[in-house]
Amino acid sequence: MSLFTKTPLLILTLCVLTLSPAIHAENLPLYGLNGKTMSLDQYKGKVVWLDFWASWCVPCRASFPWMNEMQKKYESSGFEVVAINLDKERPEVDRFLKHYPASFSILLDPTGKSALHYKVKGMPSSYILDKNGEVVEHHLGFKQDELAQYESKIQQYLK
Amino acid sequence: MHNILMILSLAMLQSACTLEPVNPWDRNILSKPDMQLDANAVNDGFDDHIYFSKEASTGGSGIGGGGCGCN
Amino acid sequence: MKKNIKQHLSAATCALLSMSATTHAEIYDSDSKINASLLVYDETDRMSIVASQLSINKTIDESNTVNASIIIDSITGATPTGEVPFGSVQTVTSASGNTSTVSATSFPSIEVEDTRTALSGSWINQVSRLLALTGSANLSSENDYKSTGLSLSASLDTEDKLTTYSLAVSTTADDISRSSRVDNVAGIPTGMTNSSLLLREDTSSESRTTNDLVIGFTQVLTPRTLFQMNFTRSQSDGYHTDPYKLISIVDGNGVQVASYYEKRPDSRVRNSIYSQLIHNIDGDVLRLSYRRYQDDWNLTSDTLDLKYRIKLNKYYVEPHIRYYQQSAADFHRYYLNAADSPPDYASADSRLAEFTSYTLGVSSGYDFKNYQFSARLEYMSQQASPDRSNDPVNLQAFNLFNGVEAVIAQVNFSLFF
Repeated sequence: MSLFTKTPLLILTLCVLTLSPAIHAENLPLYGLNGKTMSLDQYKGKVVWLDFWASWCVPCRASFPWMNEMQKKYESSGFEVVAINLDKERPEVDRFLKHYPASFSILLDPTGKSALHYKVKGMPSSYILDKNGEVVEHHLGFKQDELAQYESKIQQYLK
Repeated sequence: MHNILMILSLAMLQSACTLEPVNPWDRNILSKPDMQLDANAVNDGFDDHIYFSKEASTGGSGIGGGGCGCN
Repeated sequence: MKKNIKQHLSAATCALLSMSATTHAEIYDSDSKINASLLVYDETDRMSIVASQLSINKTIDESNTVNASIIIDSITGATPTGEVPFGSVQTVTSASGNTSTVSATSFPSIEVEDTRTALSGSWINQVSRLLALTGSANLSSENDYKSTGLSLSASLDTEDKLTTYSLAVSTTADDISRSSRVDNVAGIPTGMTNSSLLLREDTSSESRTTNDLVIGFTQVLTPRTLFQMNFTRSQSDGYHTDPYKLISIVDGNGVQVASYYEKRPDSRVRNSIYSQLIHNIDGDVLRLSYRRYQDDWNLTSDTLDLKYRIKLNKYYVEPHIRYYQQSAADFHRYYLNAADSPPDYASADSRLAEFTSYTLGVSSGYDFKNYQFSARLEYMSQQASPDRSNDPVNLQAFNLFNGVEAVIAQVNFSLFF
């Protein structure tokens, strides 16, 4: 059947290999909800749960109440949840936060440069940064049956 | 057999193929309800049934089930 | 009802298979949906169907979703027998006792009145980050037709989630019978015999089994573009004949001297390639699809479908155009000549003829809080110009292709919870 030969050839000619993203330096373009320039450096000295999220990411909804709980529970032990949003449209972020309020830091990065730097492979992605700001753990996704595991990792690095 | 090989090789080639880089955080538009494959599931279901009953061809876009004694 | 189960063929954007409803503005808290629809299908001077549908999509937990739906069709009107126009005015008495006058150029028809109920359910399980499995069942029942089907499918994403491969298998068992409403004699007619002899097969019903295999993939091409392709192979064995359909035997002058029960082969192998492109242009959504079909009854067809959803604030307007073209089944005949001995298989069913069909439609929708309302109107018309050069002189005056011309109107209401 000629269609079987025409179709793959057509698709082949349309194909371009995805370019590998460049790794950027530590000057990541992060902003607070109030528009103020922010940096991850201000969290040095604390253990950070760094979470990459977006309003359109379904599991992110379930992660917010848990992150609120972790922030409340371990904040006095030198722990911070920092959630970097990767939405490209600001109204979507505000709408999400109205339904799922956060008691932890929200940083905005519509360019996605911070996600490239941390090599985010899927949404949501979370990283534990030690007191020196180094990545010591990273995790893809958010699952209810893994919550105990996530929490024990936090406790491990708080010691 | 030739056709099956063609299908498999075509499918394997797809894994490298995007026309523009698409990072995991670039999926905002693709996640919109209007962009889903099943966005019009109800309407498409009715249409498939109408065209399956009034034409000789069937299927194509998904797996089927259930028939009708359409006269 | 050949219902599409597309959920398992959708590309997952996050770790979970995302439900289209849940990412919509003001519907954030919901992960489930109830839908009610009403559809009216009306063929000019022929059949009318009013279909009501109720369905529910429910997220059970982060890995499981269930869907269930019920559709009830109420069918009334008339359906053509497949005979050629009689050429003279006839008074016809139906089995229900009603008499009607059939004009010289009308296609002979029989009354239809039936209710069809269809139930379907499916379960989607996200087994792991990349793998999802779906199982579904379909049941449908009407007076003279019952169908049961099961299907199983798997979809696997690549690590970067830009490609999804899918495999689906399904099996359907149909039970076909013939009511006595037409000629007061129930039972399956013996194909290719004179209908006035009222010959019947030993069984009161016949069966048919269909097995389908679908291999497909979806590919993200750009942040705004998705491409899908499916290869389907279907094998059906058993009774394919329409037990109500007839084929005219005409003499040299084109006058019907007898009508025979139609007969179709007892197996059918179908193949189709389907591809679809979904492309977002500044908020508007273009959907373009093409299907190439062929089967071993020598039927081939091309289907081209285009939809363009114009997105306004809370509304959308979506024009739709569909082009369809099929060739005839190799045993399709508009009539048989009395001088020839009857072939093994023959059918005058217009659905097996060579024709072109156009559909033009428009749909519009509105979102309000956690509700969605939409409506659509479509017009479908089948046209053919068969080769008339060999037709007897008297038949030349009539249209032989009895194509469908129909208007479709539908309203939908969805509630997200």
